[in-house]
Amino acid sequence: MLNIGNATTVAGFDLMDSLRSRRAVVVLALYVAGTAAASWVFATSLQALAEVGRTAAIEQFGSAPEDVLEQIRKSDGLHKVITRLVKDPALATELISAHPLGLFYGGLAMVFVPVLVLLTSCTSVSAEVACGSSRFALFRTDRLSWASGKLLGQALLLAVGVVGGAAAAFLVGLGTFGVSEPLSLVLWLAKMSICAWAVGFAYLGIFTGISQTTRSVPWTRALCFLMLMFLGVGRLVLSSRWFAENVAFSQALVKIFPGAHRGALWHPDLSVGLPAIAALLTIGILGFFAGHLVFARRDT
Amino acid sequence: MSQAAVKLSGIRKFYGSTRALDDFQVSVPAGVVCGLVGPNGAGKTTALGVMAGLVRADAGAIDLLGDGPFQARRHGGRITTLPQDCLLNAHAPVDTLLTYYGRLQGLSRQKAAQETDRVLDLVSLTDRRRARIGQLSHGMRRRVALAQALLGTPELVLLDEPTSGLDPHLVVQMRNVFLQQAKKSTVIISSHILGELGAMCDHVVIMEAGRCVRNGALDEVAGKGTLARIQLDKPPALDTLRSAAPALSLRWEGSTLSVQAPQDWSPQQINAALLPVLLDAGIGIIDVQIGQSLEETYLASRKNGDRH
Repeated sequence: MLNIGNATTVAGFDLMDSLRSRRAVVVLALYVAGTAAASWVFATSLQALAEVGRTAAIEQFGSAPEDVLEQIRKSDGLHKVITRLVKDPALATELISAHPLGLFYGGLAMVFVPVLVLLTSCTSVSAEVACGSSRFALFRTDRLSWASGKLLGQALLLAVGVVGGAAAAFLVGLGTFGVSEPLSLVLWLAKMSICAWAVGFAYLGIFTGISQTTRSVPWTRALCFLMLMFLGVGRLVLSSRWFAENVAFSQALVKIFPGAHRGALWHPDLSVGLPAIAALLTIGILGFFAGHLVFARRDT
Repeated sequence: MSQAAVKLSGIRKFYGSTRALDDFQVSVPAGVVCGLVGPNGAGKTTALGVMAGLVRADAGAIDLLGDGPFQARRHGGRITTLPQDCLLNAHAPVDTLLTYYGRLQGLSRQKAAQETDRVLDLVSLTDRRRARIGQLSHGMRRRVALAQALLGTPELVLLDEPTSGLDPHLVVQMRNVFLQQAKKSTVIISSHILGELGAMCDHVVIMEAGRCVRNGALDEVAGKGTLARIQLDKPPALDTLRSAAPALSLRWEGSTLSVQAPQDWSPQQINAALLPVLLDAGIGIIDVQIGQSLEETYLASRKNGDRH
């Protein structure tokens, strides 16, 4: 039976213990620094592109609009291109109206959070079982509460990383674009942070499940890395046209892969986005419990 | 006989094809200090792990504190353990870690902080309370590990090699801590240092190859009522002694007279039967030891391959 009080106690301790450990702090700092650097490259490239456009317009028409990027975003041509890419006019409108840096951060975070989770959190259970420190806790509380606390603690650590990355992107945006509507960028970054956290949680649950099945840290890392590869390649294979046309239930089967829900997270309609977040959380929780079935019955 | 704090019967545990516990049966009365002794690989650590719920037995029945096998919901905070060779979280400050453990076993935040202060004082680490575990010496870490087992008011304390890695003066200090704890709890201590255990324990369990070979009160197991070893300054006339006390079995070994009395004899009766005869013969009595030491009992049980 889950003891919520003990699970939150474990989560709080685990979060602080992770933040006290040099490795997690270094990985998070690298993630935040990488996000800042990538955002800066993106922002300056976009500005350079706008400058090229402005120069070309002046050469051709003798004058250029004040904000070339804004003009491009509002153009019908871009809308058509984006609509053709995402095959959804409403989604295309949402994407075009978003701040480019917000979009960029969302894409970046959703691609990299699984790697962040792999580096910071995948051995959260097995490392404690391997060194025996779990033995000081597991006669005080039940295994489900302890393991759930570890999952929650690492989910909070993930949130710290994702929010840190978003803050870095925002500061880069302020520094480079001199954002005219900072609230709009903040809202987009917040939305993208929630989505990226949900994607990360799905992987975190699966990795924590794996972590509960082994007492070896290298084995856990190897298995989680293989799982990451499997989830990436498996989704691509199942999403391919051949599978869609020839294998029954392939479109339903692909939904067990976290990557299959990323697209819906961009959608402005909550009836599309929220189920995707719910699906990602469910995948994470199921992955966690699959591993816990082993953990509950093994020696620690 | 008081109620058993620990009652294990028919416990089996295999690690792969290795048999760690084989039909292990033991009963430890409440309120005693119990020494768990045996050679390496006898299954002592596994037995303590089974009691603490850290190791899953393959078969057998477990009853802890009259409340069935270990379940955190029932036993959390009532049973504490010092596991062997386990590392504490290296990044955490000492007091943070102990307060965390106290909270996990159901203490309020304030009570957990008070308990942390108390146990740190017991193990003489109050001045290192803000140090991170990773910054402490091996002996200090061992004391923190010991301190966590004394948090709260456990009814059963399981200690696996609690004094390994400690300085001799700390061993004495910890022995006093265990004896203080024994006034409030049942304490089971696994150790290879039999002299130390003999000084603390009033109950003993001797293990061999995953089985319990002796289990009982130390006086009973060590024959304290029926055995005496009298060190003399010269050999006695055994025939004279035998005629004075025909019920006793006597043996002269080196400088010691070994005496085996019937079960219903007390140490006082042995002394009354033999000492006047020895003194009349002008033989000096250097030392009288009642019963075997735990070490002798253990070695004898290994030699005999006992099973009780």
